[in-house]
Amino acid sequence: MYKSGRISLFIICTFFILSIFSPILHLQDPYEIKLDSLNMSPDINHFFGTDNKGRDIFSRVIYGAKFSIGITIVSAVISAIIGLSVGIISGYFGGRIDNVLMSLVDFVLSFPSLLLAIAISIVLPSGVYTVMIALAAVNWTSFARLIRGHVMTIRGMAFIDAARAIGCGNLRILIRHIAPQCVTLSLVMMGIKLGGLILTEAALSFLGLGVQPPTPTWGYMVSANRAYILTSPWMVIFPGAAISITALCFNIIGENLSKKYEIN
Amino acid sequence: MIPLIIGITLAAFLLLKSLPGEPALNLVGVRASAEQIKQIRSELGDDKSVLIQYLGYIKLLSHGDLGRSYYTGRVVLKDILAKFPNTVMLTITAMMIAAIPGILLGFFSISIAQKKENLLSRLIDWITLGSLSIPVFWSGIILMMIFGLTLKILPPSGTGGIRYIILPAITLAIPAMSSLARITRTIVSDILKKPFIITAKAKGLKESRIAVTHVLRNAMIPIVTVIGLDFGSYLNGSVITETIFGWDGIGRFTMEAIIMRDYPVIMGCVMLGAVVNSTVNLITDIVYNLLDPRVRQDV
Repeated sequence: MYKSGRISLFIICTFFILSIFSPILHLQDPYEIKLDSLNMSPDINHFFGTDNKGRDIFSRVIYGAKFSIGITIVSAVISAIIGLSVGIISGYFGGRIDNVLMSLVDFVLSFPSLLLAIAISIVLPSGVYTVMIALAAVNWTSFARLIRGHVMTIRGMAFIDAARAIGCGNLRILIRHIAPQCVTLSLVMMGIKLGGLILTEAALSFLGLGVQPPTPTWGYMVSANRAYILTSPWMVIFPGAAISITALCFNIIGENLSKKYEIN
Repeated sequence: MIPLIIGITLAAFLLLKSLPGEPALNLVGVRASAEQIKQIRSELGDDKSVLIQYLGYIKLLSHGDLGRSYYTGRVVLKDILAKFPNTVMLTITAMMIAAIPGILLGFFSISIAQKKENLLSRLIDWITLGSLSIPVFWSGIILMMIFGLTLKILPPSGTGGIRYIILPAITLAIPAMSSLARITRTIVSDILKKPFIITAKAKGLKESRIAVTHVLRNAMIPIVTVIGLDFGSYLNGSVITETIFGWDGIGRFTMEAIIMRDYPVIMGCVMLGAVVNSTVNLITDIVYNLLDPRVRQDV
């Protein structure tokens, strides 16, 4: 299955790079409203057809890729950083600190995660950063749990005792000795989480809580065009397929990582 | 459970109070006079400090009252009790649709993969990964298009009897099926490593017999637990599914309340979610205890 992981990574990178360089690729303007080409079905000029405002769906899908993929990856990194810090502190100190932090984790987990993400994206002014924060706020918990477990197994090891014996303080032990041991695990967990994150991002923008229009995000395109599903299904099918393919690629990467490192 | 409820109400309350937008303004519109706004605010109790509002809410709660909706003026508890059965019905139907194919997919992907990876186990891998990757709102819309609008076999949206429940339940069941399949695979592969499987093989039992009497029976307990614990993730899915299909349940109710800033309704739904979650956990623990004697011995 490793080959499929590489192919998936390649597909996602291609999407992302195409999207970043879309302004110089001479695609059609994703924002330009053309009244003479409304609701056109896919043809040679418009690979994915046009929407109800005459905008080219192919260039909108390509243009939207950098938002969906970028937000997913950045929020995975933020979740990993928060989860790593909480997990390390919780696992290393144990006792009361551990209790407090872990009940915080349980507390976050006791909300349905999508509702929590929705609530956060309403509290903060809408935009790219808000989506990232909302996604990170519901996803850091699994990192914290995993890292905590790992730290609890390594904190009793000889090299930690040795570090303490030569006079390292807690902070130095945490940063220089324990954190590096947890980096691989966090990266693996990030890979596993990406598939779920992109679907949550799409759900938020479907509900109108993600990056705001006119920016073409995939979820918003599905939501805005769903009234035309019967007469012009391509408006909904292609953006949705883009989400599915990207999520599938992320999931395949995650599957490979979890098989290789045996994390379930 | 009570500290959990107090914690959740406090957090939800503070979160809500920090929401931009004021319910009084939403109610009377921007052009209302200052007096009107003031009057509405004092009716809602919005002019008092947050702490007093919170204590008032807790007092209300201790009488088993969740207040009234700002918009419809309806009693929140009544609305929730009316809508909750719809969500439970949707959830249980989805679980039933997901359970059997999910368990079978997971079971076949491992018992065959045990020998070597072949076409079937690969196919199952792709099916589960694929259906985990399809966004619920998209599959819901596509199903609606095919069965509701083109073929006109089923009603495209609305709340009602069995004909209305099929499409949203299938939508909800698709991701649930594959997560169940993956969990089943993990559980079964753990069981296959146990010594009694080797014994059974050594006795010369047939593969099919081992699969049914040794593996499946032992796998059922954790699988049932997981199905129960998954209730929360169904609530997640129901927010979007109910919104798309116009299903009159808690998910849509919450979503609408959040958009309208209808604080009493949001608080009520959050409370319901927390209570349901902790109750499900409790029941799962009890059932697990009954089914698996080893758990009791450890305590």
